[in-house]
Amino acid sequence: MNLPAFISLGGILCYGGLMALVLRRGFRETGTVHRFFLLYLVFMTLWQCSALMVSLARDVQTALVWYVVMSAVVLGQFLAYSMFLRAFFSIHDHRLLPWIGLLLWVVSSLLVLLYRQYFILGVYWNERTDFYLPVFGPMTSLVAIPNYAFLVYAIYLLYQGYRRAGSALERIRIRYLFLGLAVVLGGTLANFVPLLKAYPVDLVANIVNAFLIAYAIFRFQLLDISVVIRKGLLYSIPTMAIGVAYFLALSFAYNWLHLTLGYQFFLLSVVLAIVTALAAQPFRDTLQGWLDRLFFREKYDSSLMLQRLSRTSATLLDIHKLTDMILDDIARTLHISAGAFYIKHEGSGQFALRAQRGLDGVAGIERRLRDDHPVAVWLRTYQTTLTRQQVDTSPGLVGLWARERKSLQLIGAELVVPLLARDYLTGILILGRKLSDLPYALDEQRTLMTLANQTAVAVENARLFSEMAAEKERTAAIVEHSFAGIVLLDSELRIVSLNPAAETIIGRDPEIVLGTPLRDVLGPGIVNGKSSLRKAVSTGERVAPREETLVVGDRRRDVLLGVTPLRDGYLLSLADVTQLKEVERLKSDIVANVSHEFRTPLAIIKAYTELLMEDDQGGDAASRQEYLAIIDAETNRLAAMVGQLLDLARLEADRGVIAMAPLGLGETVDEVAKLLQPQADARNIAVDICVPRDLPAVSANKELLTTLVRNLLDNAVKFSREGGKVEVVASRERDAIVLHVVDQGIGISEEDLPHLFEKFHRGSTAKEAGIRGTGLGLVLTKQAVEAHGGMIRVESKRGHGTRITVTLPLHDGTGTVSLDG
Amino acid sequence: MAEITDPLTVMIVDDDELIRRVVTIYFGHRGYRVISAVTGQECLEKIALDEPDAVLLDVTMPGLDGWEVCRRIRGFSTVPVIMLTARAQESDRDLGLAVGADAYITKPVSLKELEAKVRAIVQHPPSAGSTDTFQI
Repeated sequence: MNLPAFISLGGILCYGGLMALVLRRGFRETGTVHRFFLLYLVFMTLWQCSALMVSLARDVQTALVWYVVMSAVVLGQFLAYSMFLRAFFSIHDHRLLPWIGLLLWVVSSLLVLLYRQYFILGVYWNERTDFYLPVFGPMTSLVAIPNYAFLVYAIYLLYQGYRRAGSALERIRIRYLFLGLAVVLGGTLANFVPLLKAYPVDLVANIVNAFLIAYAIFRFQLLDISVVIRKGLLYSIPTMAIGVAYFLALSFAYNWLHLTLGYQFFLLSVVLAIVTALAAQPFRDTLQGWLDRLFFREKYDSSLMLQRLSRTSATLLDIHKLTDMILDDIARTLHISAGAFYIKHEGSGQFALRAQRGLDGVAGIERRLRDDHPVAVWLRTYQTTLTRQQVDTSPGLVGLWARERKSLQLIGAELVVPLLARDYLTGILILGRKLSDLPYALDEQRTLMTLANQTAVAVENARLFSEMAAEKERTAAIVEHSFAGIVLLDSELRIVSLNPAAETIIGRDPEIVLGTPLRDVLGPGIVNGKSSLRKAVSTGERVAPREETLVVGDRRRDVLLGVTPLRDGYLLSLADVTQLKEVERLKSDIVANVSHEFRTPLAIIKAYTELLMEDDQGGDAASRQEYLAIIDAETNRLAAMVGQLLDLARLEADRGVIAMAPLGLGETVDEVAKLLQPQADARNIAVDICVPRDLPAVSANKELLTTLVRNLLDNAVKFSREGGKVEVVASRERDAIVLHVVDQGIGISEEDLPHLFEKFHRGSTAKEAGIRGTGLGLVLTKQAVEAHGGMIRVESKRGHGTRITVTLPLHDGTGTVSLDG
Repeated sequence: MAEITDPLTVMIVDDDELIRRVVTIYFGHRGYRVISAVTGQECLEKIALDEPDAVLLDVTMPGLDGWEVCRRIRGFSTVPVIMLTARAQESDRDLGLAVGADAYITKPVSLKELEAKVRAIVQHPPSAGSTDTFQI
C-alpha cells in the first residue's frame, strides 16, 4: 500500500463519517444547507474512491480508466461547492446558474470520458510514491475552465457573504470557509509544483476543507479562526527560530569545521540539539512572553486583569468602590462599551444597580432586579454565563417582561455573568457590546466566569460589610437620638455603653462611668432586693418599665426603668419622669390645697345660713344681722380667692409677653387711693401720698400695676390700727422707680416672714387680729412685680408696722417686655 | 323615750374663730354644753379637765395637726372623736381611721347632720363595751 492509497482510504472514512454526521437525524430532518453539504461530500467521496483505485492500479490501463473517472468528477468540484455556498447564504437569484453549471459539467465529463486521449495523454510510474501519475493534455485546461469559473464564483459568493454578514459570528463562520477554500487552492496548486506533484497534497487539503466546512456549519459558537491562526503561527515562530538556528549551526559545523559525515556528525547533531534546547528555553519563554504581549494583547491583558482583580478585590470592603473597580477593569481590558453591575441587597432581597459604565444619560434602565427575575433564576439554575442568543432563544427566559427585555437592550447586553459565592447568587454582571463588535469568545467567557467566581466572595463580603455598616449606623443613630436613656451592661453588670439621654439622667461623665459596675454608679439599690435589674438577672426575662428612684451622688431622679436581657449582657432603658412626677405632685398638692382653702369659707357660709334658717334660734335681729354680715364677708372672701387665683393663673400663662406701656405711677396711686378712701375713713386712717409730679414713667401694664398697688395699699390699710397712718412714697433711683408703702399697724411676726409669698399663707398677727384674708394677695403682688421686671422687699416688726419696697424699671422705649422664667 | 340625764358636752377644736362660734351657737341651742379649743395643745389639756362626751376635731391646724391630736387622745381616752376637714382625699379617710377616729366628715357639713352624728356616736359608742344609757 502506498501513501496515496492510505490517504484515500482515510479520506473515504472521513467523508463517510461526515456524511453520517449530516444524516444523523435522518434525511427528512436535514436542512437545505446540510443537504448541499451532503452532495458535496458525495462528490468528494466519489473522487476519493477513484483516487484510491488509481493508487491501487498496477497497470497502465486501470490507472488510465480511473484517472478518467477521477477527472470527470473533479470537473464538477467547484460547482458542487458553489451550490453548497448558495444554500449556505440562501441565495435564490440567478437560478439558472447552477443548471448551466451542471450542463457544462455533464458536457465536459462526457468529453473527457469519450475523448480521453485529448485530455489525459498518458500515465507514468512514480518511483517515489509508488503509483501512476497522469500527464495532462492542453485540452484539459480548456475543459477545466467552467470548473475554475465556478471557483471564482465561489470566492465571489464568499466575499459577498462576508460583507453582508449580519453579525460577527457569521463572519467568523465565513472565515472558516475561506480558510477551507484557501487550503484547497493550496493543495491544488501543489499539483503544479514538481516537487510536491507526487504527493497527494490536494487530497489532504480537500479532507481538511471538508472538516472545516463541517465545523463551520455544525458548531454554533466557533473559535475565532483568525485568533487561532495568529496564535498558531506566532507560537511556532520561536520553534522555527530555534530550528533555523539549529540548522545554521549544523551548516556552520559542516562547512567550516569540515567535519565528515559519519557518526561524529550524528553525535554532534544530538549534542547541538540538547544544548540548543537547554540554552534556548529561557529565551523561548521570554520571546513567547514578548510575542504574547505584542500579538495577544487581549489575552495577556485578560490574565493580568484576572490576577489584578483577584488580588485587590479581597482588600476592598466598600461595595461601591469594589464594583466600580471590577467593572472598570473589565471594560477597559476587554474593550467593552457598556456594562451594569447588580449586587444583591439583603434588606430588600433585590439586586440593586451598584456600578455602571457607558450608560450615562440612558433612561429606562432598571435600577433594581427582583429576586425572581428570569435572568437571575436562569443564572442560579445553570451557574454559568448567559449570552444574548440564549436570552433570545432559551425557553426559561421567555418569561421576560417587555420592560425587562428593554432594559437589557438599553444596556446592549451581550453577556451576563453570575457572581456565585458558595452557590449563592450575590451579583449579576451585565456586559454590553465590545467596542470591536466581536462576540465574546469562549475563553473570554471562561475568563470572566473565573473572575466572577474569584471576586464573588470578595463582593459578598463587601456587600455584607456595607449592609452591616449601614445597619450599625442606623442603630447608632437611633440609640444616639433616642430620648429614652439606653445603657448597655455586660454579663458582669458593668457599663459597656450609654447614649446621651442616659448620660443626662445619670449625670456623670461617660469616660468615668464606662467599664465600672453599675452599682458603683447608681448605688447598690439598683441590683438589690426587688429592683427590676435583679429580677431580670435572676429570671433571665424582660422586665417591663417600672417606676424606680435612682440615686446618683446627691441627686435623686424618678425614672421609668425597664430591663431586657441580651445574649451577652443586659439592656437598660430609662425614661426620666422626675419632672412629670414633680408636676403630678404639684398638681395634687394644689388641688388638695385649693379645695381645702375654698371649702372653709363655704363651710362657714353654709353653717351660718343653717343657723339663720332655724325657727327657734332664740336669737334677735341683731344676731341675725351679724350672721348675715358674716355670710356676706365670707362670700366676698371666697370670691376674692377665686379672682386672685385666676389672676395668678393668667400671669403664669401670659408669662411670654405682657403688653407694657409707659405709665405714670402717680396716677395709678391716686386712683387706688381714691378707691380705698371709704375703707380708710371708716377707721380713721390717714393715707399720705408722696409721689413727685415729674417722676419718669415706668414700663408697666395698667391692669397689673393697678392690682399691684391696690394690694399693697389694701394690706397697709387693713393691718393699720385705728387712727393710724399709711405712707406711700415714690422716688427715682438710677434707672428705676422705688415705691415704699409703709404702715404702723400690727406688723408681721418673724416666723411668718419667710412664708410671706407662699400661697394661702396667713400670718399669725393677722389671725390674731381677726383679719380674714385670702392668703393670695402678696403672692399675686410679687408675681405682678416680677412680671414688670421689678423686685419686692418686705420689712416688718410685730406690733410696729410694715414697710414694703417695690422697685420697677423705667420705661426704656420698648413696647413689650419679654419674660422667661 | 331616750333620756339624757345631764347635758352632753361637746368639744370643738378648730383654729377658725367663725367655725367655733357657729358650732357653739348651734349646739348651744340644742342643749349641749360646748367647749372650744383653738389649738391641738389646748384640746389635749381641756379633755383631761372637762371630759367631753364627743370631740369635733379639725384636721388642718397650725402646730399639732388633727392626726397627731387624735393619736394622743387615744393614748389616754376612748372619747368619741369626729374629724372635720376640708380635705377630701381617700388616704385621709384611712389615716383618720388608723389614728383611731370614730368618724371622718368633710366640710362643708350640715350642722344638722353633724349634730345627728354626734348623738348617734354618743349613744352607741363603738369603742366602749357597754354603757349606762340605753335606748328604748
